[in-house]
Amino acid sequence: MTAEGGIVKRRKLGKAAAWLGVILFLAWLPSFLPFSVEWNIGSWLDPIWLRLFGHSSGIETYRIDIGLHHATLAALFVIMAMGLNLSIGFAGLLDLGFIAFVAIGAYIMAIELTRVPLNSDSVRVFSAWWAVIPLCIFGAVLVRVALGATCLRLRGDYLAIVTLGFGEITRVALKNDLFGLTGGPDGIFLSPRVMPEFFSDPEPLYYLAAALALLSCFTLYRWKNSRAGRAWEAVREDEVAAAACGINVFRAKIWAYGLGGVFAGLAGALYALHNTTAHPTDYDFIESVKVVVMVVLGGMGSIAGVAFGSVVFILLLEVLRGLAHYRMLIFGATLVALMVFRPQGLAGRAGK
Amino acid sequence: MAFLEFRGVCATYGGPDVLHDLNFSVERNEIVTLIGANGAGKTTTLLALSGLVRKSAGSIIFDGEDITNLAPHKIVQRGIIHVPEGRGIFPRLTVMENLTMGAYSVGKVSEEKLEAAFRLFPILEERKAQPGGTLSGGEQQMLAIARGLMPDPKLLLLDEPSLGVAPMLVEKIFEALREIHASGTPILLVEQNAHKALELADRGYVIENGRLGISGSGQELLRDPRIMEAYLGI
Repeated sequence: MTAEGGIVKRRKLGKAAAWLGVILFLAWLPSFLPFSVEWNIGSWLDPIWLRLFGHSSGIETYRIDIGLHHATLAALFVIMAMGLNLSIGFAGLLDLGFIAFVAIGAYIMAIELTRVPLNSDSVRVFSAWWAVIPLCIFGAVLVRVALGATCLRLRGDYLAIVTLGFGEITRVALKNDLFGLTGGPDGIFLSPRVMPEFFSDPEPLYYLAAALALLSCFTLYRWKNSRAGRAWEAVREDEVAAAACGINVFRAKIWAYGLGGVFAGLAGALYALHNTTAHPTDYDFIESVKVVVMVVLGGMGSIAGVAFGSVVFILLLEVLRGLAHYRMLIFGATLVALMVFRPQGLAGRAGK
Repeated sequence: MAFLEFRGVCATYGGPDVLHDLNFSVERNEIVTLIGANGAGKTTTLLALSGLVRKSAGSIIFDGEDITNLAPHKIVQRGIIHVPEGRGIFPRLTVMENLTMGAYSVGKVSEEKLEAAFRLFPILEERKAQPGGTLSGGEQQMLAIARGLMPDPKLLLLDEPSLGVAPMLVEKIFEALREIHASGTPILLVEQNAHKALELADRGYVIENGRLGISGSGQELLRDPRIMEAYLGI
């Protein structure tokens, strides 16, 4: 009994620390920014054939500036990770195309902001950017429910492949100027004239994103302990047993999957404002993978863990930018190590 | 009319029928067992009853109502509770959370039912804060049965409760089944352990290649040499 109590206590302490970390990080980070990191990496990043012949690329020091921009990015990814946590972590629906729904939110925002023509003085007349956010959410949820209704009868790997395909289809469709609205490979640029005045400073967007990230975490926390949340967990653990308990398995899945779209649409809308563009290359497959990694790294189904995981992941990604594409190698190794030593993630629930 | 009645039920996983023209019944306050070899269709019969496998013909009547084409969760609401094969518990949820899930169809878990379940399986009370996956095989089976009791079932379906369970715990589980039955819950039991099942059951049916063969009271079937044949396929 005491050992059990100890485990519970330790888990609670760990969770509290993670929550505190995320809140402090989100609230106080701007005062630490900007800072820069310098990498003296010598020439070991040079390709081996250059070094063999005594050549060098001449790049020996990298300097990375971490600014408020990165903090905003981290907050946005927390929102995305929460949305994906809902389907992967809670309901066990592996989704490899999550970023497509973020793209839908982002493109709706960009299209709406640029749709209203400028007046004769070339001054923006559309300022109700916040009124577009519900539309972004609605669009993402609608597409997600439609996709879910057709493919949620698939399980595990099959669902992963369908969602992966959908993610790529979305990106290619956007790149090919879908409905003549998405601007093709150039995307949609939000020029300073159409950007809402609210975002002329980077700080308001940061605080908005941070507040919404915390709200997302809180929402998920409430859902997790609700009747629906328990039903999702049951479906994740064992579908037959869940059905035997009287859960409408398909409906539970549709709900978990569709509600993930709320977070995707929201994050997408802010992502477009953050990037001041909606561009197809921002919604590559690798972005979906990043969000999946955040969820897995933090611990599927855990909220504090996933929030913490995504913040750490985004920051590390930036700090290690000096290593160019080698940083992905580091993440690969980290993930393998995680699978070996802590398969449930940083804060996930062990078992099975 | 019987409490539960299968009338010419055929079932399919999408291809050819795997169950052919099943006719059997369960009365109130009866333990009925379906016995048969591996792959005979025992589990499929239960899955068909609880709506998890499609019926291609026939009808299932429960308590005077045709439930043939109801969705699984609707069937649970009618009071038919399925305890799935291979201790289908939720391994990462605690014992207590598992039990709470059992009461999903009725809303809240009742203290009374919980106490009754803990009286039946005291070990579960000791382990209630532990993840279900950390229990032993027999304890997991107990948990699965206890979870099935949470919504106050009108009919309990048990799929191989002795599967992969230590012999000593099998005794305990069958003892518990007797008690559950004594408290007024009819049971449809599917078992490979024919001897134990027939000892417990009021009546039994032998299922072979998706068809019902001989049937009779538990005692009759125990003495019937054809049972051996059904098992060994002679």
